[in-house]
Amino acid sequence: MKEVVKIELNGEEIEVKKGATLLSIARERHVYIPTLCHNDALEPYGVCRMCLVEIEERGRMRVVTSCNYPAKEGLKVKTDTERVVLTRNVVIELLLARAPENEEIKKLAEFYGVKGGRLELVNDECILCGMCVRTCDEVVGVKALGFANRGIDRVPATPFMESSETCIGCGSCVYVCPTGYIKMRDENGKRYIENWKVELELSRCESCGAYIAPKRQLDYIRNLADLPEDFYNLCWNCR
Amino acid sequence: MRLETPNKLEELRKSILEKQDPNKQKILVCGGTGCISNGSLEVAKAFEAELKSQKLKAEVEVKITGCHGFCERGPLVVFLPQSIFYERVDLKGVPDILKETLISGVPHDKYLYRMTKKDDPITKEEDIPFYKNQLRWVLRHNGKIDPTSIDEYIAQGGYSALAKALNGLSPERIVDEIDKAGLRGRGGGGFSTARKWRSVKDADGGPDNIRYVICNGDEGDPGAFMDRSLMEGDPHSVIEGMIIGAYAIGSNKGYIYVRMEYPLAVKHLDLAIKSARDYGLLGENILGSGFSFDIEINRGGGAFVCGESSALMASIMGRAGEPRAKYVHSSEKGLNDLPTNLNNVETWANVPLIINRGADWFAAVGTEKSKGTKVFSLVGSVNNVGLVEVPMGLSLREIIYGIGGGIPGGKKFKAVQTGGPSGGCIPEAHLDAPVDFDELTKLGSMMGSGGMIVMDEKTCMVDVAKYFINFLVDESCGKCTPCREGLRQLLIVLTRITEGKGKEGDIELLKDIGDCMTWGSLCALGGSASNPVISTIKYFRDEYEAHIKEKRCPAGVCQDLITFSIIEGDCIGCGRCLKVCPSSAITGENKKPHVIDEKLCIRCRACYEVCPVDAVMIE
Ligand SMILES: Cc1cc2nc3c(=O)[nH]c(=O)nc-3n(C[C@H](O)[C@H](O)[C@H](O)COP(=O)(O)O)c2cc1C
Ligand code: SF4
Ligand code: SF4
Ligand code: SF4
Ligand code: SF4
Ligand code: FES
Ligand code: FES
Repeated sequence: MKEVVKIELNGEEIEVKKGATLLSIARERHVYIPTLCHNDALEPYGVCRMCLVEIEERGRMRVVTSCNYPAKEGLKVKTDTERVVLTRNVVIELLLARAPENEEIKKLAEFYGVKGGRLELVNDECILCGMCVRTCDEVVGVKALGFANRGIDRVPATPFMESSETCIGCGSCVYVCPTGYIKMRDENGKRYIENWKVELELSRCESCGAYIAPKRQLDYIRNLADLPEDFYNLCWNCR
Repeated sequence: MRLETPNKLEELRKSILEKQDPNKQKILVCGGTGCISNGSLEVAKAFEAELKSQKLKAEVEVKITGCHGFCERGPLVVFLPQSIFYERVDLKGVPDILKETLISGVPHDKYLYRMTKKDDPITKEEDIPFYKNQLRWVLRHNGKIDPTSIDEYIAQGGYSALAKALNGLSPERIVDEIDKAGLRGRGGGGFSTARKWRSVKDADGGPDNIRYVICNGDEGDPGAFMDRSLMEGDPHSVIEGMIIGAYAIGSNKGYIYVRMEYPLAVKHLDLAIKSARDYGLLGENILGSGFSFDIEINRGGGAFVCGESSALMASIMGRAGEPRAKYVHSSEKGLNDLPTNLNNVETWANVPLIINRGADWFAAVGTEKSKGTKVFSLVGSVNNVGLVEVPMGLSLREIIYGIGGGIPGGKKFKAVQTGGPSGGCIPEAHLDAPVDFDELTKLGSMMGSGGMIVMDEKTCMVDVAKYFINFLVDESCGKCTPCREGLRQLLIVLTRITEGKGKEGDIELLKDIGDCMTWGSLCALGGSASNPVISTIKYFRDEYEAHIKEKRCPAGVCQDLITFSIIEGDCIGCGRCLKVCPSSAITGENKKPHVIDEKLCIRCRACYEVCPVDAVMIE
């Protein structure tokens, strides 16, 4: 049985699972906290700094990210203090300058009444949430991606920015990216992901000739699941 | 030779001391990185050669020591037992120095210390103001012993604290003693060392009960070299501190993380570890106590952020040296997810002192909440540049004027930045503030690891803020939004202000971004990075306003906001400015006042620097 602790959420005393993240606790209780780098399927990363809350612990006030802060006995959590609002609004303002066309950030800005215009636009689509990198590692298990460069030059990339030898072209990174920064297309029997400089041959159904998925991806799954050699010779329709 | 018991260590110490002759003629040549780069090793060789040719070799010992902290005056050479201090010794001076000091028995005047050329020389190291007002506890061996010889360290009482600890102090007693001494971490936050040790000691070490200790020797602050000097000049004091700490905490494995740019530190530490192993001071069953501990050196990639604790541990584990977002302390889950105790080089070096002399002795020096001494790297616009160790609580004024000798050229003091690149700038009004952890924080700056940059009246504070933000933009790891995007935007705003394109509201914008970084950043780099901006706004707001509203740089620094002209009455018509001007903006006849054509001037300052009568004016 999991240990239960008492905490205070926006003034209300509640009993929660010890160690559960403040974000999950808030969500269960329909207290809205915005997030940009959180996904339940991934380990908390804590970098977008959207999900800030203020906590009081042993008399000390701190601003922390709720997506990875664990519930402890006696913790007092407030989700909308002046400090949280100010910090969060500037984070939104900074992201709005970085990715002015991003729908999700535009929505957040509108919701919180953050106006742009004070900052110089950077016009970089990617918001460095790391979803792509972490999905490839934690979910797909391929680890084809990482980050290149430091500071303001940081970009998600393949090692040494070279064409990835390990990417299986599954497209998970593309689906999970909140900004459409990763460009993938299937063309003439090949799958291209420009960002990772990959070009993978697509496998065809032996019966109808439809494209199934990149050969490398099917090999990867076959190996992983120990499936028979001919397992992916036919497409889903022709099975 | 293994020392099987604490007694054997004492016997060894006695035998080393017996062999030493305090009256032997010694020439100590500084072999720290600074002096080496100024040619000190060649100077040492020249002394050897000269002694040989004068057939004095057997009577005189030439010894290479660690850094004295006065590197700017290097190569430094000290003659013992006379205690004569020579500065800026070059090859050409070697024969005369030898002749006068050893044969005539008078110090060679030319190489004696003078604060400025006009001042009288000072013969003894301890009489030089730079040293006189210091309290050198941690640096006590620096410049005195040969750091490559464990015997010299032992002769000075080295490893006796370790023997004392293993021979009768329980681990709890040691932690209590450190607690009573009030030792706080010298690497940044000033965290209580005993409290950190206790939480690592009490943490769950897993099935194999493993704990680690780490020494943080990353020292990424530009211009700072206190940790480097300690590791180079007295490596055993750091190692002894680590062994005692490891015993107190219950750790058998330690790491020293040193940046790659510190090859001499790595070399001396490596040597020190090997010789400590030979004596059985590291390894299995240290001094027969049953306690085992060993140390491995890790070379860091040399990024500023690698000094941050989670980044440092990631780097030791072979991962990218980036801070990690987590709310479980590394004292519980650090290296390999096991309890890990990280302390700074100087923190470790304080430990043997406290164990040897006792907590009360240590705590008698300092302020209420900051005990002992602190080493600072005093640089910038100050006469005596170098490493200084002072009791906590000494005022900034005493450090800058008493030890540093004030501002060169009779210029006025403007501000001092403490705490490294993300420290704040403190103005003259607070010069009498006692220097300790809490006082500096109260002033909007911090102790950091002990950087101290003095700035004079010719400094533009907006330009200074821009300089540090520019450094930090390159050093941010880029992981989290407030630090990465905040620094980027701070730099953009500061740049436009210094270019005369500042807008109404820019000061508020800088403050908003700064606050967001302080509260919202993932690690302390972003959390403190806005200090240079926020503190200069706080103390020098009028300077920001002059740039923004009047398009004027009061200090005459920002190129786009200044004009050069020649004061007619002062100009003697020497024509030097005319010759040096790269854009032919100056006209004038010999012996008649010259003029600058503002439209042609590219504001390079060349004429200003070259004018012998200071007739060039910057507005
Ligand atoms: C960006 C950054 C750089 C740091 N660099 C260093 C460093 O070079 N040396 C150091 O001892 N501590 C450095 N620190 C502080 C360490 O994270 C840590 O607090 C310290 O090593 C703990 O030792 P102490 O308790 O003995 O001070 C740095 C912190 C940050 C945020
Ligand atoms: S497409 Fe390639 S990079 Fe993207 S998640 Fe799949 S394997 Fe990783
Ligand atoms: S590419 Fe997309 S998923 Fe990856 S870091 Fe950028 S915004 Fe996030
Ligand atoms: S505060 Fe700066 S250095 Fe620290 S994690 Fe964030 S981006 Fe990296
Ligand atoms: S500042 Fe440079 S360009 Fe201008 S007048 Fe002087 S020397 Fe010439
Ligand atoms: S969601 Fe918590 S920091 Fe991004
Ligand atoms: S290196 Fe010689 S005094 Fe510092």
